[in-house]
Amino acid sequence: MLSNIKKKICSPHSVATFLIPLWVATISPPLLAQATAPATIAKGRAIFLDERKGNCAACHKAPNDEAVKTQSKIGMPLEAVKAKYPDRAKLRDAIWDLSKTVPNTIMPPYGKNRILSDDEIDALVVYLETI
Amino acid sequence: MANHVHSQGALSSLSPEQDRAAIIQALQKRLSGTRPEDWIIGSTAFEPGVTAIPLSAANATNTADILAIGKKRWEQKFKNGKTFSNCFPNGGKRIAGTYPQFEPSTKQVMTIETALNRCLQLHGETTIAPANVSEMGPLAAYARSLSEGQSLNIRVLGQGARDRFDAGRRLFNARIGQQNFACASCHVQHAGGVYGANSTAESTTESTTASTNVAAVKNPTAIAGGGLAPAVGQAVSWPRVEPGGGIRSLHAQFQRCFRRSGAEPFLEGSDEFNNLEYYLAYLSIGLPLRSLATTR
Repeated sequence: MLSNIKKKICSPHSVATFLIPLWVATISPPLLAQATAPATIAKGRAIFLDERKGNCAACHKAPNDEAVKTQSKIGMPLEAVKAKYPDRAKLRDAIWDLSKTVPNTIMPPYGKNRILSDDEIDALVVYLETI
Repeated sequence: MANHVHSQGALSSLSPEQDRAAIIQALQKRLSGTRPEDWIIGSTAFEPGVTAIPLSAANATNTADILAIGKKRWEQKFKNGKTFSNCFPNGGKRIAGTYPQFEPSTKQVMTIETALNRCLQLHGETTIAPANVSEMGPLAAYARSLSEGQSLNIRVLGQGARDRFDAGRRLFNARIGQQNFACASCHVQHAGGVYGANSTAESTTESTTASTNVAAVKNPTAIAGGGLAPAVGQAVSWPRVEPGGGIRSLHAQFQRCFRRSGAEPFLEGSDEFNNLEYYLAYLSIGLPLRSLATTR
């Protein structure tokens, strides 16, 4: 029985299965970020557009993104966002609960009220920094 | 409670007249060059590319049909030989502009729908559930049509009425639901704005998650897009004819807004919505009542 278990643990297939995640973990963060950024941007854009999620287009235009077509005129147009929010943490905070810095805002508190998950807010931030 | 017009904490100290005047002032600041009389066509006044919504042939037909049904019900004799016209001053003509009213004996707000049901009750007839739009809709529409063009004349006299007015005002200014909107957020603070709708499904081709298949997902509370009507002028034109011929009551509209804010709505005909209607109607005093206006 024990010899069978040892065979399974030490088989070429299981060794490869063990080593692949180890190899991935040694990839430097910038390379990993480049590999995931397009997917993250797409995820963020989808959250921006999804009426059940961010529904951001209900209030905000995104003039630099052709995929966003809206006639909204409530919130400020979202363009050059990274220049306006060079500190990513502050951009994230604004999405999480803008009322902390703009007391009378009607922007929903996406994080505080759990409209979006942390991962979704992260992806939205990555997307917003591209428009 | 913070609000969008007055300083925090000052809400209940303002008289109805002062509150209305302050809101009109705030709205005129946002919508310069306009007056309350310009706001009665509601959100269509602010939608891009829309200058007026005339009654289309379809809407006109729907309106005529609805009024015909309502007229038949209004004139239908009760078991005791009386009709609705026996319950109202002047046979029900040119009185709808005074509703909602505060009823001191019950300390409740009486909307036109409540008054119609009170009439049925007094004459031993079965009442109509406020949410029963197929019955109450045409009846209320016809009842209001007997006062078409009458200026709203809503009174808030005495402490009881003032308590109800204040309750409506608090609800109007309260942040509700997961989205944290107040009525005032859209209809005072951002009146005249335009909320948009995503008109593209292109994002789905790049999406890696099933939940972002926007085109395939129908969100029942999704905002279709449109203008944000000013609070003053909102209460004059009810019920409304929906595209396709349905009737939408003011309380049904309240429920739509509640759901848009991610909140469970009060019931049609509830005290909360009656109070809110009382407050909104007061904001529109002096403006002409319309029945069966068209809507998107």
